[in-house]
Amino acid sequence: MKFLELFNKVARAIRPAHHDYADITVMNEPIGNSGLDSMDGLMIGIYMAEIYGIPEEIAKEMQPKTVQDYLDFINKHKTKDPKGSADDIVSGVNW
Amino acid sequence: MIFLTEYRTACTEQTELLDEVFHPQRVHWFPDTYAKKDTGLIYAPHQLASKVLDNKLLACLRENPVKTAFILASGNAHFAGIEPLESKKTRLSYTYKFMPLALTQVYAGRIASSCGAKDLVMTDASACASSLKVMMDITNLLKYGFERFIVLGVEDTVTNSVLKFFGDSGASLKLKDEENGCIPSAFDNKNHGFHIGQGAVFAVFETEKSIKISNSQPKARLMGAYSASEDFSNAMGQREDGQGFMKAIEGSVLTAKCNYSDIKIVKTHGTGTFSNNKAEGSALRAVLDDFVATSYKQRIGHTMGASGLLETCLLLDDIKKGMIPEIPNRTEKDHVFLSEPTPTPQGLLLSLSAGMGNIYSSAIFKPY
Repeated sequence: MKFLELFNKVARAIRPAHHDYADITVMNEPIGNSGLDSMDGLMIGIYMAEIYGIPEEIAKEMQPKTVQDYLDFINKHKTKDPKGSADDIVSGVNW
Repeated sequence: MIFLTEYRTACTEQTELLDEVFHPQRVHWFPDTYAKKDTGLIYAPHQLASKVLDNKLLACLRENPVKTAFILASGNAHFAGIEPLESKKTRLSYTYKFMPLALTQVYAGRIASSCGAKDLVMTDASACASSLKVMMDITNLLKYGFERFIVLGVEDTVTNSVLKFFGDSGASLKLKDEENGCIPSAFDNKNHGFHIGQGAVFAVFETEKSIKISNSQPKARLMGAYSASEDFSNAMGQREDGQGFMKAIEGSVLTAKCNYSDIKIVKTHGTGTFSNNKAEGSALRAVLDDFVATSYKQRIGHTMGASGLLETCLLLDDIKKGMIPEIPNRTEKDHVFLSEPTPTPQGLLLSLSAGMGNIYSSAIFKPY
């Protein structure tokens, strides 16, 4: 599973159904280019923290501008690695 | 002049018995809107709102900008389902991971941006009168140069707490009421009450200038609207003489610059509770002579903050089809508070709503 694929799945999950979203294809692309706003960015961070076992108080420090920023932060703080496809991971998060 | 040019509605006539809640009762609901609630990020009212947020329409609004106000009519303002009374997990239980999104104004801002509404974003929490009460806000905003008014009405979220609250007060029908032979109706001597329902409405109101820009077609003209309170110390109750309803109707007739005799069709608040039957029935009989009245809460449930405007839009659909539907489950023949469907009479439509906390709203429309 590629991180970019997981990111796009999570972004679609948190984005209101009627909002436009264009998949991000490059790790260093600013996330705003895809239609995400900073509030979406926060929500993606919370979702990712759940997936990678990052405590909420640490996750709140996340201030990403690109998908690469998310990945760097996650690699630094994660306590687990998800298994399976991006779809399985997003739908199977044990909240 | 203000015209209703577009609307989308979401509601369901189907019910499901929720037997795990405090007062087991039937509910009109969309289980899919609760599917992702345990993420703590995706709330049922937002999912429900998505059912009325039409991407094509939103794009059209963005591409044809005018001075626009966006109003989220969110009823009682525990919008994302705060559960202070919850003691056990039910199918309606919530988890929170991102509290800001549960705030009505934050959610309103999020949706307003996708409608291209940049001039005013506001919310209303006038309980179950909410979405109809904002009709008065619209007529007032017209004075400040606004050309388009977008209203999103969404029920307050069906939760265990909401079902307990309405069940405790004897307003919603519980399973034991149904076992005793009572089914939902209004203005009837045998059947009464309603089930709680999920519902949403998205409506666009425009001036002539905005209509020219968006090239939309009027579905009705909003002639006038007014909201009022009555002289009553019990904020949870209603005066039997219907003073609150009468004051609201009088105000809307004045602002519409029409006569009482022009009103031929009434969309009642129509909860079917004993107190509302008396209050609303008394008020209507006191001020109108020749009219037919219906109620939608027995079909789709009481969708709380969304109900006033949502039911008005359903009635406009029925008027277009040429028939005013009956109030379901009437046991007495009645040509006013309809026991049978009747052909649409020519005339104005009066729409009424009421909310706990002493608020009564009235709006008058000319259907096209």
